[in-house]
Amino acid sequence: MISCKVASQLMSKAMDEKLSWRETIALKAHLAVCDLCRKFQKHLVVLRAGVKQILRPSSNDAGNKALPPDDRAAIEKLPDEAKNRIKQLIS
Amino acid sequence: VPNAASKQIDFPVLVDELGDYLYNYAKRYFRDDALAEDLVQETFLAAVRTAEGFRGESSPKTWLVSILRHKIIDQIRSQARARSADLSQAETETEYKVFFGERDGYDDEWTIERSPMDWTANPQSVLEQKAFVGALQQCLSNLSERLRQIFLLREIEDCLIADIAAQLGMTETNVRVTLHRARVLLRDCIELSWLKAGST
Repeated sequence: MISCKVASQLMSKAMDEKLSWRETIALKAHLAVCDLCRKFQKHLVVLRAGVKQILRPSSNDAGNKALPPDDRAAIEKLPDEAKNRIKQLIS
Repeated sequence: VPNAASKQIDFPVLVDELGDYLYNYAKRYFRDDALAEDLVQETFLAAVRTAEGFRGESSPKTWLVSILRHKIIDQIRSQARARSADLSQAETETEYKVFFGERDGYDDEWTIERSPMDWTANPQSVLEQKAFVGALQQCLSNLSERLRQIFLLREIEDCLIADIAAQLGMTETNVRVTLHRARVLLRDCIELSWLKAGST
């Protein structure tokens, strides 16, 4: 039986790549008996969706539209000085 | 001869319209404000140089973001070259000891203090919770720049492991280890600040 640490590594890997059949079987066997790792697996999915929700502009270019304005990632302004410098450089 | 689409581009207006957005995009990857400004500036300079190739098939925003993404990856790569890129195996193992240890006679099980907790049955309802979203934002910015960069290349830019490895001169194994560390740390941080904060 693989350890929770190895199982967590395989769960992370499975978010990015297809596991080998050997890895898949080892992970399934572990998850069948490990409640904590089943939680970890669910959390990875929530993390991915959460990061996309916060940081990825939606397809309609509206930014973090799914969230009310006060939940949006804090918008930092490109300083005016920088904007003016860039405008001068490109004109 | 500039084509119709490129002739219509008013770059100074785009600086006003998209400057903040591009700056924030760069800031996710680099804490250094001046560096983020430089990347936005280089993006516009490259856009002006290649404006004739822009045929208006995508929005100017999509076009500028794709230029910026290349600048970001170039920058991460040159930073990776400048420092010893990867955490040593020993350092990673030390860090993992917080999360995995001996339990009930087995090695490398979740430690009691850091075992994954119940979040909720329904992922969507978690994502609608302000406290969760706030914790996620905070915890993302708590990650070391290196971990965050590689994690976001994967999660936001959808880069493949092999591509990240090739672009940044890392081994694929090292990319996997880095992503695993980022996820373990991020998950744990969220739990600490979102679920455990109120209960202690």
